[in-house]
Amino acid sequence: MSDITLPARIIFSLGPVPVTDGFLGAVLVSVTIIGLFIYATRSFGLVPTRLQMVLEMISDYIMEQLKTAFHSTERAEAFFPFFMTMLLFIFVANQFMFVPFIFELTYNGFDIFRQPTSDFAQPIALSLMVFFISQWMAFKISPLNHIQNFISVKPFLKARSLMEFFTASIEAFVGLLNIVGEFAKIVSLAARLFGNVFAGNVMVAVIIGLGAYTQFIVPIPFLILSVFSGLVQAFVFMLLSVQFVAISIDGAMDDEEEEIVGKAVATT
Amino acid sequence: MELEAARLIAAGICMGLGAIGSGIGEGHVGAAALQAIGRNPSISGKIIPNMIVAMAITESTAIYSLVISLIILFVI
Repeated sequence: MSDITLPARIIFSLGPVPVTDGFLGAVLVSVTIIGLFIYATRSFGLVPTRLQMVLEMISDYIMEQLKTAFHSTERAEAFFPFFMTMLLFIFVANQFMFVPFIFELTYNGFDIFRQPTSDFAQPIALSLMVFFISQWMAFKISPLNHIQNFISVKPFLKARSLMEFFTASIEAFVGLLNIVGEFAKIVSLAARLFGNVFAGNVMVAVIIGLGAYTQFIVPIPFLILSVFSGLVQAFVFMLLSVQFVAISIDGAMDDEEEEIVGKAVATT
Repeated sequence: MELEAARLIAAGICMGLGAIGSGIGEGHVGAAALQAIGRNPSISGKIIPNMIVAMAITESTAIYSLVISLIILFVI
């Protein structure tokens, strides 16, 4: 953390692919998580160890959140690995700066590793993943309904009077706004995580750079604050992406269920 | 005005004005959550996670202005 730069630094190039310090940090985080879980699951038993207790507590909490969001246990279990991985990755990545001597490793005078979430590319990548999953799942459930949420033609066909035509045009306009909203979700989700983490780093760097006396004890409260905000942001990112996926699935399901109910009423 | 000075002033104004609204909003969220906990203290375990999520959504405008001011400071 010698100096603050917004874009990630290119360490070396692997053929045409540039390898940045943020990418190396992400690899380190992934290896840490995989290693931890291989070590933890080896000693899983009926009598839980301390590590098992913690991991089961986290998984139970996430499972509860998923069940309340998706209204179905099957779908919650299907989505569980993705969201659990995301939460663990962001959580470990946010506490990356506490690995001892990690910023002492340098290559050509620059740090090799960088906190992954303080490189804007990675929150954007995570939120793009959430975006594509939410769109694809909703599209798979019911393509027609999902497209109708954005380009609504149905109310125009149903309109019989001038007033109904007016409300139909308002609905069409809201559908267009929804398209903008979907893309705004990507940016807002990513910017929230990136802004919090990067601002924490900048704050600590500024406090350390103030003078010779502020290098040792003074940054500790700010470090505690950034630990707390890293924890909260990991949970918030996970919960918000669960909500986005659940909302888009609900939007695709809604009309279909109504139609089924309507058919049932018609047949009886 | 020199470009450097204009850049610094722009970053400061961006962050300062952007933080006003989200400060007020977060105060409302916290106040409402504390009132709810005061009425029914046994439900605080359910309210606090929701409160934190609501606060994170509320502060997003401040985060946007933070990101923009960081871009002004470090990129442009």
